[in-house]
Amino acid sequence: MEDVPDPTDFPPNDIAPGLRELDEALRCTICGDLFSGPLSVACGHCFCSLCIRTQLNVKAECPLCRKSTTEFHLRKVQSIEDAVQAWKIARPYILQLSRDEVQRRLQFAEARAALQDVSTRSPKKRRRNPSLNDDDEVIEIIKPTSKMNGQRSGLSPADSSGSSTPQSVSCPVCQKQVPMAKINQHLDDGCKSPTPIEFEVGSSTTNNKGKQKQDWQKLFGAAESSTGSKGKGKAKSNSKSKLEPSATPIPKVAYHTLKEKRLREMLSDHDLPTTGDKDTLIRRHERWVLVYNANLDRNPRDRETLEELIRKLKKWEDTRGGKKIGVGDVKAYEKANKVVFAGLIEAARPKKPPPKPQQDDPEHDNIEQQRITEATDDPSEIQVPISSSPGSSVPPVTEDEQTGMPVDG
Amino acid sequence: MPPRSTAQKRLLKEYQQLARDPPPGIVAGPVSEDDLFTWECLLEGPTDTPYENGIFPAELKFPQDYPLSPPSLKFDPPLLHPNIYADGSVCISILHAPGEDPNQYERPEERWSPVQSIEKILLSVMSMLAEPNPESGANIDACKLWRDDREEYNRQIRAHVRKTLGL
Ligand SMILES: [Zn+2]
Ligand SMILES: [Zn+2]
Ligand SMILES: [Zn+2]
Repeated sequence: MEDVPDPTDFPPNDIAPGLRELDEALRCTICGDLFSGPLSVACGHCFCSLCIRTQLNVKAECPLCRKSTTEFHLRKVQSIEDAVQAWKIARPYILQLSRDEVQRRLQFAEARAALQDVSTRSPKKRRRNPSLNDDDEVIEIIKPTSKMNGQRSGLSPADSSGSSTPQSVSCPVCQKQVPMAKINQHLDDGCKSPTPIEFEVGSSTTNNKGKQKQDWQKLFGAAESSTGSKGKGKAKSNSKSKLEPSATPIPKVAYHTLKEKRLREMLSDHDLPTTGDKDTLIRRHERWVLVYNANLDRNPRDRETLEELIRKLKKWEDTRGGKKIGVGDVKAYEKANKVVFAGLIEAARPKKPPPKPQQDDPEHDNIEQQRITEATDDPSEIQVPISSSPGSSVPPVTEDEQTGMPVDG
Repeated sequence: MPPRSTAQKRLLKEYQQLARDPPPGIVAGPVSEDDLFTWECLLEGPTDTPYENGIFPAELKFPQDYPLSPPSLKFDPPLLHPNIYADGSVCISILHAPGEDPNQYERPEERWSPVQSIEKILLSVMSMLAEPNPESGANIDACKLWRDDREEYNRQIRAHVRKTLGL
């Protein structure tokens, strides 16, 4: 079974306090992934844009606390998005650190067990040689380790008695030379005493340092790009045509009032397939509105291209067929639509700007709003499909106040 | 490996977490890597109940739009219990999507929501075994027996447990 990232990748709380909780807190409770385009609902709980928008179509409540909420309560949570961005970079590094720490503790525990094992197995010796003190006992135990490491091996009980310079032994965990009298304390401290001892730097740690540096550079690159209006982040190698930052959300549609012919026109306005019965057309358009608008909730640098969105829509239809159908039907559907979709994905590469709804009259028939208008480069026109206040009928047009969406009639 | 759908990714995650931190008395996982939408479960009968010492196999079936919609859970072989249908299907509120309430008794906060998990479902089933809910009865005979002749109810379940253990 393949490995998927999740909070239990990190050691439990007694070893790595808070790491599981941190990883959990930055994940959407619907999909289990790190937040993508995080939106909050009325109660303050946060979900991926696509996850919560899809769920709100099913039930107008918070999936976590069940407090009622609607699309109008959705707010972009920029701080969480930034935190996720940084955590994506930090996570592999922290993961490696915590795994190294677990490894170190295991070695430590084994060493302690070995020490105890030997000391409990030699009580007779102790009784026969009452003159031997504890330090001597330790020397006997530690000596083989020193020999194995090719380090000082000439230790003997005679050396230590009355010697003014403390004898040292090689620590079975960190291999450093430690005064014999301090070896137990040293182990108790997790190899930190009595002197600051450099940890053995394994190859993995070294790699991580190099990786960390790269990742910082990535972070800076990404941070720089996020301040500009163009979404060309260095963090992503994929520099295909992102959706224009100025793209605006598609308004919701009252499908039950529509004729099939109109539905087909709407789909073809977005260069989507017009095959299938009315139910299929509705589901396809509904899903497209979700996927398209959720994409706009992401930072411009994280947005997917129209090509990727159409690919996703196709995948969604392939697995779910836009309606509840059996596996056999899916296969047939896929076959029938393969060519259509392939052409569409091709056609969706670098392309004209996406449709921009007119925002002046929310009472007006929603469909008529989907006129393709010239996209603008003015960053102040970046809008997210959420309203500034529930029930506001005149959507403001600035980025700060955010725009409202016409209600589903 | 083709990219996984949201449902598949979530199922994989849940499997991983269950494998790493298994709740006591519960074993569950996909039947195969090719079909993440069908899971086999083994549930230990709760102690101090007639189900004690029993190990009960059950099957979870997930819809393609999981976790939007809940899975279904079926004991195979069926188990005598007021909240289990004669065919083995389990009827508890966490397995019901909001809006569908066959018994009109369920509190909305107990129903399925996409933030619920397989672990929570199986833990709910464990407590259902320990404490039947006669208000949302699925098996009338079992309900009557449980209500009117608890001794016979317990005896039949113990007999079933012994049979499944091959005693
Ligand atoms: Zn999500
Ligand atoms: Zn909530
Ligand atoms: Zn040490």
